[in-house]
Amino acid sequence: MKRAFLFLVLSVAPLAAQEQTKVVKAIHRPAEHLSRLLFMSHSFTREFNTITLRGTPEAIKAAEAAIQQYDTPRRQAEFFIRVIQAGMPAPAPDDATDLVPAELKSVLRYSRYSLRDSAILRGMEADRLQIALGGNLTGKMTFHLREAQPSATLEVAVNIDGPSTLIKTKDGEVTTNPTLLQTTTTVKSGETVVLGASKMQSQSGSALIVLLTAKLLP
Amino acid sequence: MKDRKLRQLLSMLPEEEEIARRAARARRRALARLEEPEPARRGWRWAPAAALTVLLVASAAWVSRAWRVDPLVWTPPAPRIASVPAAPLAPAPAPAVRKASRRAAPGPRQERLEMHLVLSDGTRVLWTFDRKFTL
Repeated sequence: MKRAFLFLVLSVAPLAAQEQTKVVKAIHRPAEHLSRLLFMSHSFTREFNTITLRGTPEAIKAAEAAIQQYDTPRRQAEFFIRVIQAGMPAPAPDDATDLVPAELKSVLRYSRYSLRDSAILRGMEADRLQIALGGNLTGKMTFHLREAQPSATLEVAVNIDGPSTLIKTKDGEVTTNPTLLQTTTTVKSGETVVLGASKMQSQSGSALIVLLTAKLLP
Repeated sequence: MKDRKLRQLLSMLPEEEEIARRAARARRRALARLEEPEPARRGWRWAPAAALTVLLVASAAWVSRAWRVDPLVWTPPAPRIASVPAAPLAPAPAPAVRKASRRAAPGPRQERLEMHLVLSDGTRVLWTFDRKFTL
C-alpha cells in the first residue's frame, strides 16, 4: 500500500510541477463570458475582470490565444422602439393605425391601434438595457453582434413586463410583473422587426405590438 | 553438646539414594509437562461444532415440515359448462343517450406559441400567443 502511494506521488509530482498559474485581464468583454470558452482549470473575477488560468504552459498559451481572439471591442447599437396597443381606442395624436403594416392589419382582427410609447435606446453589446415604457411597462433588451459583414446582424432578446400586480397565495400576497412579451430575434442594422403578443383563445382582449428598429453604430 | 548435635544435624546431607530418587521424580515431572495432550481431550474441540451441525439439521428439518402444505382433504368439483341456447338472444338495450356536457373540451396545454411571418415587403413579424398575456 505504501509502495503504491509512493509510486503515485512520484508519478504525479512531475506533472504537478509543470502546472502554472497565470492571470489574464480581459479588456473589452466580461471575463465571465470569455471564461466560458475555456476547457481547463480556471476562475474569473468580476471586480478586476480577470481570468486566472491554471495548467500546463501549452494549455495556458492556447487559452490566452482564445481569449485574445474573442476579446474584441464591443459594438454599440441604437434601438428605436414603438409600443402599440391593438384593440384599444386612442385619441387622434396617439393613433398608430398607419404605423402597423397594412398586410399585418389585414391578418389581425383588431381595428384600432394606439401608440403607448416610443423610445430610443442605445447601449453596448452584451449589456442589459432597461427602459420604462408607457408609464407602467418595463422593457429589457440584450443584443449580440452575430455577423459584421456584409451586413451587420444583431441577435436581440426583448422582454416587456407589465405593471406589477398583487397576487394572493396561500403563503400571503406576492407582487409579480407579468411578462407581456418575451422573444429573441435577429435583426439587421436598419431593419424594422414587428414583435407581437396576444392572449391565446382571447375573445375581446387587446394585443401588444412592438416595432423594433435596430441600428449598429460605428 | 546440644548445640554441636544440632549443627551436625543441620549440616547433614541426604543420602545418595535419596538424592537419586528425588532427581528421578523431578525428571518424571518435567517429562510429563513436555508430553503432548492426551488424545482423548482433543475430541472435545470439535464437540461444539458437531453439536451446532446437529442443531442446524434438526431445525432445518423442523422448518421444512412446518412449511409443507398438506394436501386438501376435499377436492372441488369440476366446473360445468352451460349449454348454448338454441333461440337467439334478445338484443341488448340501447345505451342511454348522455347529455352533452356544456363545458368545452380542455384546450391544449400549450402555454406559448410563437408564429413567424414575413410580409410581402420583407418585414418580419414574430407573434407570440401566450395564455398568461394580460394588458
